[in-house]
Amino acid sequence: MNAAVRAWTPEPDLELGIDEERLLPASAPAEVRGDGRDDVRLLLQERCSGRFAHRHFRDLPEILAPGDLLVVNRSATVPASLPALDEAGRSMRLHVAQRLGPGIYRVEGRSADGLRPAARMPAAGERLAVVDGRGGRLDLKVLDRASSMSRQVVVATQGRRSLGPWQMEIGQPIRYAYVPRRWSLEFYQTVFAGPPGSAEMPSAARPFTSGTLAALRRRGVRIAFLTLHCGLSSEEVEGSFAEHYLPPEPYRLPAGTVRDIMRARARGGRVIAVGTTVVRALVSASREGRLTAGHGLADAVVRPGVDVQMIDGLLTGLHAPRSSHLALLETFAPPEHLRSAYEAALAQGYLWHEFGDVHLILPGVQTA
Amino acid sequence: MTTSAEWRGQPPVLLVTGASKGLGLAVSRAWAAQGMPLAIAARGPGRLEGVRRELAAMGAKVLAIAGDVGEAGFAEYLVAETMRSLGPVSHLVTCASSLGPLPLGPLADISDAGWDEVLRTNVLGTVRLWRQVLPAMEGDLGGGRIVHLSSDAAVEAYPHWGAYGATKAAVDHLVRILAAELLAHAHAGVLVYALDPGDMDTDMHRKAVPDEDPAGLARPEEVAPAVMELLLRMPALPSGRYRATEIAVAGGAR
Repeated sequence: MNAAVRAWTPEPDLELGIDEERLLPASAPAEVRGDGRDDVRLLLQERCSGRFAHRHFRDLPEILAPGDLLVVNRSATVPASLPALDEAGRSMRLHVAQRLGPGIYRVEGRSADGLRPAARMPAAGERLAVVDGRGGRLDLKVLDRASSMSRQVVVATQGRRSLGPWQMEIGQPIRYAYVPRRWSLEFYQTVFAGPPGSAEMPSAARPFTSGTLAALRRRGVRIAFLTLHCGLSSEEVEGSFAEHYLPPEPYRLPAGTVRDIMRARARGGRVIAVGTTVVRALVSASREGRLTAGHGLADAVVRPGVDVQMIDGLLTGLHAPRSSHLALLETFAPPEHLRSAYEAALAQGYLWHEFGDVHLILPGVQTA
Repeated sequence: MTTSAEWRGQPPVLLVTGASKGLGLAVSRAWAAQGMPLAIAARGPGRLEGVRRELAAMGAKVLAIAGDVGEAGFAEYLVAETMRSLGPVSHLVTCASSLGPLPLGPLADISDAGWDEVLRTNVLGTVRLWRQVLPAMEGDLGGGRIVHLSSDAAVEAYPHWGAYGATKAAVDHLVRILAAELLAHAHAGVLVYALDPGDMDTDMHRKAVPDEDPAGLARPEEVAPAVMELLLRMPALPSGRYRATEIAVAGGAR
């Protein structure tokens, strides 16, 4: 409180001068490409100076210091992609972003293989159906668009029945075109996975293994948890970021985690968010300048000018241009620092996206 | 002066736009002087930082955010961040305003770009803030006060004041409509006012009328008590448009 003026600008830099065509996506899980989930590279960047070094994820325990606290999202991934038929009876898929109420969901219409947006966005009043390929179907009615800036629509199921059993039975993990084959759900769960609810994996925690956890414990690094059920990442920012639709996501912040954060800070430890979802949850959970335990909808749009003072560092993946994640990253490092780190990552062949390499922005680390 | 530091059990939180100069600054000072928390916004971060320090030195909790109310997304950000730092906005004073292209000229000379700026700042910039603060006022807070800084140019037809006068008149009318809506929806605890301060000696006035002798003009600190009355008086004045001189200030401050 009473800290200096915060400056707001309408447009964060969401390009960083990076051409999407130049990105190397990780097309398969790290344990398939290499010799373990933790076999990924780690781009270590000092938060204040912007200097960076190329490290390995397995170096994480020695990069961190005793007393540091990692805050991890333990939401488990659900198989959120369902086979469906559009009003004309053509095959499509529905990616279920979030349950809004009994039998009411926010969904995105996708192509028949799920890899691309549907050629046409379902319009209000249209009827769709989830189909299991064995004659079972559940009819859905499109109520409205989720927002004028979104491809997502709100649907109601026939008889307000739950999509949960259908997801468990015939759902698949959401996958995009840069992952050419299907991987089963366990590839989309982190070692921390607890309450199910994420449409897409909170992927920053994916490289952690039981070996990492043991090494962190020996190092004196603590781990605290929260839950935020992630929606869809498929909507890039088109036009103005200020008008971009970033739907709220349900979160739960335990009182013990608030205590752990306060204690770590009081003892001079650094609080490190594992993933952008943790930042969103913590910012959303602060009220009147205090972090407040509880649950609700995380509605913060984290962007330059938003106060992330309670969080010292961020471990995250490498993000595509035009994603709202880059606006969040710019609260930790100015665009020019991110740009130089991303340029180096491109030059060094780092892999992007959920199965890829990671980026750690942390104050007070040696990058020489 | 009413010095109610409690607003229905919640500490009142004021949000002021255009807070680094003129009436916005005077109201911010008067509010902070009572030790109540406030968020201040203005375009230029340099001057705003000076104001923030001054108010913080008075012992008030202050959040200062530099940005342009004419930009989409700023109102949403401003109100959300105020909520996170101070609590829900119970009192809103909108002083941020644009004259349009200077020097002021005939209506037919105002370009689309000029209109765009004035409409975005004066009309959209105000209505967007209402949209952000009303849910809490109508909901959890069960009340609130909104003061829009109007002008006699909204009523009188002054040559060359076309864009400014028309947008001030537009918001005056929107104040009346919002007041009617609040009554229609039984949100009688939320009051909305347009305040015509009379001619004040401000930066804006000097830009618009460079030749006028400022000695005959009211100073913003003389008008601020009228705004404080609208914000804090119990029972509240009915929603509507007021001239500063019509508002009796308890204690004869003026």
